[in-house]
Amino acid sequence: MDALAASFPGSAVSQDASLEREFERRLADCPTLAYRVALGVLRNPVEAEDVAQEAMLRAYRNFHRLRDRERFRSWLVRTAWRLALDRIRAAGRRERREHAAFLDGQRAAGIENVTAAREFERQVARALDALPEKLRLVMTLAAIEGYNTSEVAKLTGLPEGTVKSRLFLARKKLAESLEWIVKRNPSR
Amino acid sequence: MDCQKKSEQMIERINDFALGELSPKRELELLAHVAECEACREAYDHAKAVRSLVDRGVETLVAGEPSAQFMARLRARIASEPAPKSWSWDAWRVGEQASRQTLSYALGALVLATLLIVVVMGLPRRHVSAPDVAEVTPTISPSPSVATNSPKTSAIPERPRKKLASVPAPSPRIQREPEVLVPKGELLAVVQFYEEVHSRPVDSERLYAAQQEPQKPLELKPIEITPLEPLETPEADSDKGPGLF
Repeated sequence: MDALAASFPGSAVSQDASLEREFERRLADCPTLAYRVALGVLRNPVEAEDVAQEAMLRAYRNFHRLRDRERFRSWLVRTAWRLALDRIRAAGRRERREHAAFLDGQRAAGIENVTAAREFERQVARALDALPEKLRLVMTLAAIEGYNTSEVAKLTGLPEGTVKSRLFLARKKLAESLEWIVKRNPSR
Repeated sequence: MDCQKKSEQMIERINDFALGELSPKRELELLAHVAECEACREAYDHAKAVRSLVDRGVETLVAGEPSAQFMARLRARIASEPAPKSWSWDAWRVGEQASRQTLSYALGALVLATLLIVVVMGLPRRHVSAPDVAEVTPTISPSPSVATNSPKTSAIPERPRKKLASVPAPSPRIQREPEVLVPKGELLAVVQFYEEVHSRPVDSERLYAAQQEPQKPLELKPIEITPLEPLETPEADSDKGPGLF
């Protein structure tokens, strides 16, 4: 935060050194978390960076209002998630329809034609997007650096049992969506 | 364990295990069985492959790091941001900021409610009076010809019966004088009738007898519609008899 405080000396931020240091610590690791959460929704690195920046800016503006500082990561995850959803909803529906039509065509063609890893990613992304939002959030968080159930529960503010059952349901639905790939291509 | 008999149950258990939703005890049972049963081992391997596929697929979607310029951009944007108003942790200050808008709405509602109460309570109460003759009088709207004739026949018994009924009797509940709407030219007759009634006992038989005879010509209804239908005027006049001409 020293660098941050030095960039605007005499400001209100520099008046509270402990708060500055605390925010600076979060600046060190939280942007990656916000970026990955946004990437899980948007699948676009540039847009994910924009959303992560916006989420961090909001965190900066409202950091002094956060009473329980231990919940900063949870708050940041929710903010980034919401911002990413808003952005993807604001995007043209036509583009998404075209994308879905393309994926449908690939699926109809069979796994033999879906050889590239990028195409497989698209199938996973499509299945993930089809999940209910509650399941999608825990599934995305669990996939970020392999967060376990406990860590996902802390990030979402949910009980561990709820996280566990949602993870199970999410995997089950994804498996149902992707199982045709495994059946046709057991080596994968 | 008989896989043929419990195949569905076993497949479901294998799937639960593969997706991480099996209790440790069940998991041990399953692993012991999978080691012995080739069919279940294949199902188990398949379920594990699906789970691995799912997890790897989602991990691939969220894998990545922000670009090298990310932090520089973020710091630049923070530097260009106006400093937060307060970095204080005072709870009351946070509450004050959060509830400022709510408080203004509440104050506005309170002022409006007070004004409404003042207006409602300050309205003068209207006394409910008995319906006076104004309700009856308009129904008797004699024509101009009748009005001009009335001074000539100024005798009180000549007033129409309805008119007699329209003069209110003094009521003990009403302190002020009743308002009587009198057609133009008949005020004198009404005053005389009023004084007559209140000065001595009314001889109803005489009044009735006097009313019956001369009143008939005055109740010519066609005269009321004369201004509206001028063509009928000659007929109405002819009804009065040749004496008028």
